[in-house]
Amino acid sequence: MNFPLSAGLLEACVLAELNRQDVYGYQLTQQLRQVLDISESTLYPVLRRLQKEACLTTYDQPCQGRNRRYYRITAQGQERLEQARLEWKDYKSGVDRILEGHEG
Amino acid sequence: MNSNKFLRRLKRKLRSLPKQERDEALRYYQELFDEAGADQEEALIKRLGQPAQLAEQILEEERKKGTHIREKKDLSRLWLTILAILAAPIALPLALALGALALALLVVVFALILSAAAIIAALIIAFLAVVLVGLVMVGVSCFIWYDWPSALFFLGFGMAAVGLGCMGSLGMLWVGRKFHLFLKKMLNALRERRRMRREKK
Repeated sequence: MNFPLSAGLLEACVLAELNRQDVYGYQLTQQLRQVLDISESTLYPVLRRLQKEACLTTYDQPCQGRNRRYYRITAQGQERLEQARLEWKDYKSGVDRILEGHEG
Repeated sequence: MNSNKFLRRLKRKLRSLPKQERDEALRYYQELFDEAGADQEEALIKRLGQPAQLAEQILEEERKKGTHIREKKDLSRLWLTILAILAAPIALPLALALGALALALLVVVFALILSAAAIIAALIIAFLAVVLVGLVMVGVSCFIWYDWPSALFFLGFGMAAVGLGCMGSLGMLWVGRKFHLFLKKMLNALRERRRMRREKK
């Protein structure tokens, strides 16, 4: 069955990865693709949005004659991540209740 | 397709973006290709899909964020402006000439109406003058009662003149009235046309 990934959830996943360590574009997409079935093109708008909302910043580091662009989470990004974690917990338990038929 | 071709196509499709946003997007994808390396290139291109679709995705996202995108109608408006400027040396004098012609026609019509009215008025006055002369002649004939032929001549001629003058002036008055009605009809027709145009709008 297909469980499409909402934009909000994808944003939270990106922030969670950034929270663990700074990553560069390709690295981030490879990490997420290990678990989620997404394309790099889906990620770009998410990264742009998070950057515009000041949840992450970017910096460049020279590597093999190129400049790699790294993404780093901000304090605001961490707050957003915490919020998303709580909301996801609620949502997940709600869905589980329905699927597993638990009471209360 | 290889990465260079892909990126070239993408760049072209993104040309309506402001320079900064376009450079950011191209840089991201260039980096992906650089990192992927030659062996992962094909798989990456497959995942990314067509450059046109990818570009549309990026443009849609930028639109949501309120980035100013040069829409198609902006471009055609630009072309229209350029064309208008290029055509001006011919178009402007032509427009002026046509305007002058229209104005001249209006003046001619107005002049015709005026002269027709003037002619009618002049004729009325002329016929009244004939009446006056006739009356004078009748009057004179009374004074030369001693010279019968002349008196009769003056009387007859004078009465004829009065008669002719009255008929003439009455006739011209009738012509004048008809002319007046004709003008009124024309004016009303013009007003109706204006009203109908306004209602259509």
